[in-house]
This record gives sequence, C-alpha cells and structure tokens, in this order.
Amino acid sequence: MYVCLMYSSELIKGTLKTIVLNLLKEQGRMYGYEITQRVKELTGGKIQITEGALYPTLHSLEKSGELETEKEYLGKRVRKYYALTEQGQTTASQKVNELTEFMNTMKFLLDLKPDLGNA
Amino acid sequence: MRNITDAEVTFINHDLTARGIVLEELRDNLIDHICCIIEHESQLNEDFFKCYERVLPQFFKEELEEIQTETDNLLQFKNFYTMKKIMNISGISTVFLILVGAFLKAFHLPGAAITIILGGFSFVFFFLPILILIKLKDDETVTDKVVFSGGLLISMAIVTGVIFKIMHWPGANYLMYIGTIVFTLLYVPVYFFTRIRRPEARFNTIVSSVMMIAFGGILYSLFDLSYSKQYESQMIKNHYFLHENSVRLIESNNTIYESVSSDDQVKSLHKLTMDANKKLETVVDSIVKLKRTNGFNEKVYDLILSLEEYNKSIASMEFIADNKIDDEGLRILDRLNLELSMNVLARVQQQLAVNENAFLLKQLSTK
Repeated sequence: MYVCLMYSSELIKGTLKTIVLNLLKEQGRMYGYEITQRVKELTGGKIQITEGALYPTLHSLEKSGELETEKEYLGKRVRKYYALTEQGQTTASQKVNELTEFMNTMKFLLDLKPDLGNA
Repeated sequence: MRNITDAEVTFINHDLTARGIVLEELRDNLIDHICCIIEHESQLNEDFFKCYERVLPQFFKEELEEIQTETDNLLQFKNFYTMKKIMNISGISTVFLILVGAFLKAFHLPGAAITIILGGFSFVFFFLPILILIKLKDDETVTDKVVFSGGLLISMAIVTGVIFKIMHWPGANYLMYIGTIVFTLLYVPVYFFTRIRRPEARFNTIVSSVMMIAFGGILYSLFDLSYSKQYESQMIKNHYFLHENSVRLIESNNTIYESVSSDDQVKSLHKLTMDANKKLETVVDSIVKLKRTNGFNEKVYDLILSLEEYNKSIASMEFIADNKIDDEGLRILDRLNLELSMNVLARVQQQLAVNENAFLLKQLSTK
C-alpha cells in the first residue's frame, strides 16, 4: 500500500504513523490531501504516501485517541482536518525519539560513517 | 484551477459506495481527496469522468475495497489489543481476589464474601466473555470456535452457580447442577468426537476429555455432599421427638393451670407462652407449606419479637428467670436447611413448655 520512489516499502513500513504524527505536530491541523502533498514536497518526492495507506492509518489514530478531527463543509464535500490531541502530542514525541534511536542503532550496527551522509 | 460541482461530488459518492466504501467517514475523506487531485492536477478542459477514471486507480492495487478492508483491519487490530489488555487485567484481578477471598474465608476474617464475589464476577463477566471473543477471531475452524465458546459459556453458568451458592442466593443449585450435567454429558462428548479424528490432536483430546469428565463428576458429587440419608433421618426423628414431648408437656401444663392460683405472673406467663407458640406454629406452617426456609422473614421476625418480650418478662419470675430462650438459630433460619430449621423451632417450642412446666410446678409446691 506504500509508494515510494527511492525507498523500498519495507523501509517505510512502520514509520507512517511517526511521519503523520510528527507532521501534524509541526503543522497544526491538516487534511488528507495536504498531508500527502507536504510529505512529497518535504522529501523532494522521495517518499509519496498513498491514499490506501494514509486513510486507514488516520482512522486508526483517531480511534485510539491520538488525533481529533474538525469538519468543514465545501458544498456537498466534507473536508476533515486532523490535529493532535494531548495524548497524540506525547505519542508523536515518543515515536520520533524511538525512530531516532532506532536509526542511530542501525548506523552503529551497519558501521556507517555519519560524515558520509549516506545513512 | 477547476472547481468540482455538487453534482460531481454526488456522482463520486455513489460510485465509491458502489465500490464497497461503506464507512461514511472514510468515504468523505476519499471524496475530498479525489476532488483535490482533480482540482489541482488536471487541465481545465479535461472531461471530469475521464479525469476521475484516471485518478481513481492510484488509490488501490486491485480494487478500491482494499482501502475499506485495511481500515477495518487496523480498527479491529486496535480493539483486539484493548481486549487482550482487559482480559489480562481481569485475569490477574480474578486470581488475586479469589486467593485473598479464600484466605479471608479460611480464617473467618471480614470481607471474604465480597472479595470472592468480585473475583467471581470479574472472571465470569470480563475474563470469560473476552476470551470467547478473542477465540472467535482466531483462525481456527468454525466447529472449534463453536465448541470452545460453548464450553466457556457452560463454565460461566457453573462459576455463577458457585458464587450464588457461596452467597446463599436462590437459583444456585439450578445453575450448578444444569451446568455440570450439560458440561459432562453433552459438552465433553461433543469436544471428544469433534477432535478425536485429527491425528495431531488425538492424544491431547483423550487426556483433556478424561480430565474434564473426572472434573465434572467430582464437581457433581461435591454439590451433593450436604449430609447422608441416615443423618437426615436422625434429624427428622429428633425433630418429631422434640415436638411430641413439647405437645405432651403443654397438655400436662394446661392441667396444672387448673390447680394453681391464677395470679398475675401465672396469667402473664400463660399468655406469653401461648403467643410465642402461636407465632412459632405460623413459621412451621410456612416451612411445611413452601418446603423452604426463606421468603417469610416477617413471620420469623414476629416470633423473635415475641420471644424478646417473653425473655424480658420471665426475668422477674422466680425459678425460670435464667432460662431465657436463645433465638440465635431463628435469626439465621433462612440459611438453614429444612430439617435443621425444624429442629431449631422444635427446640424453642420445647423450651417454652419446659419453662412453663418448671414455673407451674414451683407454684404448685408453694401452694
């Protein structure tokens, strides 16, 4: 369900929640299309989140209380804006820390030199 | 930038519904997303329907319904973990409460009953139902799911029966007996015959079935461990013996009344004894009629009040002042079995007659 131009889906799998939570932490409230576009823009198109992966994740995060929604009506269209709840703020920080630690461990494990900038 | 019209939104809505997107919230998200793509990433002169047909496939690999399935899975997966968490907490609570309750009960400490009840209810109403739900989600065959869930439902009935029994609540015996009979005679054979043909499960099935039959049989015999028939017949004999003696003594007392002077104390004792006996007979009638010892607490309470008045009055009567009637058995009459309760009542009746006789003989001797 993940499309990424440079990275394999195995690498991206498991980080989508972290990406979404961290993005909302930075941006405040966002709607689905906006999230996909922002990720594409920030990564220079290296990572493109598919709709098939994004919406199930957003619904799951909303159900677990990490996200809250606000609806805006554009004629017959309904636009749902997602924002972090208090619990979501904490989870976002935890997820980012966890991922950073994981990446450091991977760097160490693979014995890469950080100054090469290819990690 | 082009603008999507309301009619086009309605079209997308119907199309997504037809393609299996049943969750309204998800559909709203997808409609907005598709509209955004068409508005931002298409030419003004491009036909809407052609554009829609071009955009839609980027939402799925084979069919759009995948996104609905993925959402359902993620939501259920979340519930699954919440359920497992609740099951673990209720499991730990059950073990803790039952062990503490058993300890308190063994040492006759306060709080035993409520602790055991809480433990039992946590087991029956949280642990077992969630276990059934989790089992139903497993990838086992439908037969296994039905058999396992059935077994857990029967266990719920038996455990509820045991809690009712400990608390002396009505219906306990029905739940325990029916639960155990259904478990041993119906559930175990069904379990055995649905699994025995599977070579990998053969050994475990035989061992489990033997253990379940043994457990059911032992449980059933434990339920019936009240007292032996000989004990019961002796209790009945004792009760009749006490009652007959009382009747003979009352008749004898009535004869003595004619020979003693009818002063105030004699009249008072006669009246109090008659009153207590009358109320006692009412309680006996209720037990005989209903064949149980609960459900008529008001009549028992009337008798206790009458005996309290009796005890107060005889305190000033010479020779029987210390022979107050003990009403402890009457206060727990609804928790005693039929034979023992009849014995308690016969003993009270006999004590009334003995007191009366002792007092009258004393009056006779001083005449």
